[in-house]
Amino acid sequence: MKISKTTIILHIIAWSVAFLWLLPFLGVFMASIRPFGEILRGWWIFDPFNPSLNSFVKAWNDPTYPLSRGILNSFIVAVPSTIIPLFVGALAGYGFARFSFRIRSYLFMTIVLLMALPQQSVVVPLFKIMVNLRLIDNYLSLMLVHSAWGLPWIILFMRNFFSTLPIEVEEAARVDGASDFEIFYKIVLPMSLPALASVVVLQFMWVWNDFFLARVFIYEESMLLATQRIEYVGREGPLGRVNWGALSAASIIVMIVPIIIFVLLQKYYVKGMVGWSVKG
Amino acid sequence: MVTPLIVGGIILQYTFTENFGIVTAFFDMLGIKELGRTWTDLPNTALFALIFGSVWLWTGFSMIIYSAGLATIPKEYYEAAKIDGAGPFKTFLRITFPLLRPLNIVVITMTILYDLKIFDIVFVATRGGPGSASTVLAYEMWLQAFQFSRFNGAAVIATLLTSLTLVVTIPMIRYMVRR
Repeated sequence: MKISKTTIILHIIAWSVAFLWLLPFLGVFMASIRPFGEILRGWWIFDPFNPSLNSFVKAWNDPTYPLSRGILNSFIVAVPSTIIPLFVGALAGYGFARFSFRIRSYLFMTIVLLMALPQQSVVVPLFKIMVNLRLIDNYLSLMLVHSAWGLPWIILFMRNFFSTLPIEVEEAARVDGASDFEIFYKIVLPMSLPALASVVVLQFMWVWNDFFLARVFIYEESMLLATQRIEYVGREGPLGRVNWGALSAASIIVMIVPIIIFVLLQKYYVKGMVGWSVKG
Repeated sequence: MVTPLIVGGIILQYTFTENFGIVTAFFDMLGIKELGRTWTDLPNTALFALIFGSVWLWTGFSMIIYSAGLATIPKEYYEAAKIDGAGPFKTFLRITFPLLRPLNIVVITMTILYDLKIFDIVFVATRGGPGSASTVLAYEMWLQAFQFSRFNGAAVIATLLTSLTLVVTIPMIRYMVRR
């Protein structure tokens, strides 16, 4: 097969853009595996080149803000914050897809509109509520807010998915005497596993990557989440001297979790992203 | 896209730091000394560092959406265009671009929403500074509420931010209803 000249040129352009986009990641990676003295004049100078994992060890075992604890904390928050809205959202989405009631379209529109809301616009009242409930420095506050925050898009996404399922199967089950809940749990949910996987991947990533809500609700040193710890690990004081080695290593440790999920479950991630925003 | 924004902020700060950031080193090499300094420390460049960083972090989203959209365009259209003698540029202008138009509204809306809400990268890379050169609504709101305990001021900013997002979202909602 003859490869045309335009194909070659297009490939060169595409690869250069991709390389350009990856350069900053490469820089942080280099900063994390090399002593600071070596990257002072730029990480792209490879003479001398003494890679080591010291910065990773330092970030992982930081005396006051160990990242190991942060990763564990993030998992403690992220797992329930994914599972709760998954089931509530699937149930609500099923309701919107299969049952008609008086205010259905208005209710649905409101939920879709909620997706556009910035977290900043509700965080002050939420903070007051959590203070009154004495849930500041308690993961319950984060789990509740993350679950509520994830619900609109999960409902929208699941409703769209359920609408594409053949209704005949459910009708047949109903004729056989199955109740609404039996139909949902025994027939609809098993058919929806791919969509549920998309929800899990996206919701988990959003909760994991969240910094703002954690910053507002969690202050206790030992309870800080992974995203909150990066800064403390790499900096002395709020805008103080930066330890680029530890900072980069901490960034990479926190980033690696969503990246692994993305690499393993890319198909579901893309489906969720597209279904969430396009199919509407 | 997958990267936590807080990490994105750190990477962007590193990339724009004097001497060992690749962007600053590049400008230094070109002899433009003003752009060879740490961007996030100077009032004139701090906001631009944030802009480039947010573009860099968000490109993946539009790419995923557009590539999914491209996959839905039937191959027959392109074959027909070829038979009719249309060049690659004309094919893009007359077939690809119009067919992707519904996606433009989604991508534009989502991007504006994302940028209106931007907080993490500002927090980590510039803290809105120097002075208030690179502050944004979301960051200012957090500062008012949780640093200065001025909850009234924070509520004003939050309301402003909410109205802005609603203005941006309405075209998309209308488009979704029409379908």
